[in-house]
Amino acid sequence: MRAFISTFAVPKAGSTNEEYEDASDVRPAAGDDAEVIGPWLAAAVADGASEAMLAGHWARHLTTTFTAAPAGQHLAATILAAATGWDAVEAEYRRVRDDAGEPIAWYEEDGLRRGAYATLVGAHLLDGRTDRQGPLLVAALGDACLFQVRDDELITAFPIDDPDEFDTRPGLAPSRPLDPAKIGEHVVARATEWRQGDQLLLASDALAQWFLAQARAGGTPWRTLSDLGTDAEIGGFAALVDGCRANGSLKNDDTTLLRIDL
Amino acid sequence: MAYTAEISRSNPSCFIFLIDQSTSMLDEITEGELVRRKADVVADALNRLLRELAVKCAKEGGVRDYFHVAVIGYGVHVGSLLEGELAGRDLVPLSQVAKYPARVEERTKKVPDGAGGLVEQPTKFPVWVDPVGNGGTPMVEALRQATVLANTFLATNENCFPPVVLNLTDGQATDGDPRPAAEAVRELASTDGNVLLFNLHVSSEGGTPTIFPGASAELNDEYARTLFSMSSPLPPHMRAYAAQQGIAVDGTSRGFVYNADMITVVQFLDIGTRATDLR
Repeated sequence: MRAFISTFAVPKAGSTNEEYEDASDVRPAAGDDAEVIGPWLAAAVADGASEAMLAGHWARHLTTTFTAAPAGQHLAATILAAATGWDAVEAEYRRVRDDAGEPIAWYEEDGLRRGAYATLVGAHLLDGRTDRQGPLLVAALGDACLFQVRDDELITAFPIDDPDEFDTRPGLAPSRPLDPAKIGEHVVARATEWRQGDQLLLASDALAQWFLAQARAGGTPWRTLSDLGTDAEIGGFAALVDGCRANGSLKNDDTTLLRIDL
Repeated sequence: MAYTAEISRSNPSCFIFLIDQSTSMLDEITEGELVRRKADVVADALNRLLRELAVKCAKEGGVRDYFHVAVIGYGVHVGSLLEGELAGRDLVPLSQVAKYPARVEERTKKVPDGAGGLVEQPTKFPVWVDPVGNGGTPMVEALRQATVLANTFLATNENCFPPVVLNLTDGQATDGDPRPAAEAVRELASTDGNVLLFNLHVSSEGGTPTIFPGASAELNDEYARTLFSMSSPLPPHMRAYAAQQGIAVDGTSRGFVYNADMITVVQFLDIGTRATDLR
């Protein structure tokens, strides 16, 4: 397959770039605005929960664990594999804080003890009988979404297809699972097919909700997201996000898009 | 008027805690097999509310100032109870409240052990307010000060999630009828809704502990009925959240709690995606 990868990220208004807690990852490593050629592709977007400590670290850890996992592995197994490494992530964070002379304060202890939480959506694309179409395996926990557009039509919205279904309590992948079996009960997966010419859009919840609302109103948000940076009227991703936040159509939240043009 | 405003550092909200420190708070109440003074109950409730608020807003690098906080005591005097670096200050950013408790104690807390049971863990418990019971109950004056503080906050935060005034008391006001003063504070509003006045009533009269009762509740205590009438109706999203927690609420439920825990009020407030385990 040949895929052109573009990633876009804007932190919540009022937050710094360092406070951005979404994450995205693609393998084979593509860099930004790069073409990938090969028999497989893995991509993921995660969104760290605002109320959790080290949520950005966990979101990054989840996406890189997902893209390194074998295609077809159950997402619950991938999340549990990521969680296995969490004690080391926390220990390293504590060490850095101690070295900086800023030991963990009482108000951080509860959050660190509970661990971090994030939503996740990921996709594996595999070559089929030809390199122009093949299996598309998608899995998610929570409200980060994947959209598939073919011939200027939205053909897949996963795992949510209704903009009214977003709230502040999505299912979350925990870094310290209290009941590992529960993860499997909440993970959803779908096997479908990609074709050359398709566009896949992986988005964290704010953008996903905006996308579905635009589509429900008869719009073509995929065209808007295709033309980012090339259509002067739309401008870049940051300009689009700013404008939509200002007119109330996009929730003020970390906003991430991973676009795969096949 | 929807109680949907974003709570963020650029659009913070505020909490004004009022704590009864009158002599009657030294009376004892029985909770199961435990006998405690009312002053102990409200001081503990306030310290736990402040702790919960700070933990909720804690991120790497500190507590975020999603809220500004005032802690007003009323007994011999009416005024701020914050100590040390914060002595004499009224509305203080939450990060400062978290940074400067009067002291931090070591306690133990029961947490899930991952195998369906509970295990005790040492935990740090900050203390801002100690139990006090001395003097009359100038609740009207305390509500008046809350009105001034809320008004001050609203002057520079007109689009905020409305300030929450949380009054912890046994209800026996000695400086007049508190209902008009309560109405005055509830009448203040941001563009997102009216100020919310919630009352936590600690009573030695006994009766069933009650959380967010509605119009049909049978409150056996005159003070409870007064405090219930002073309390704001629960906004719809808070009712929905309470219902999810298994609390029986209806369209007439108010922000009133009788001899019970009010920690859920902090959990009602949305500052973003909640960190919750799968169920």
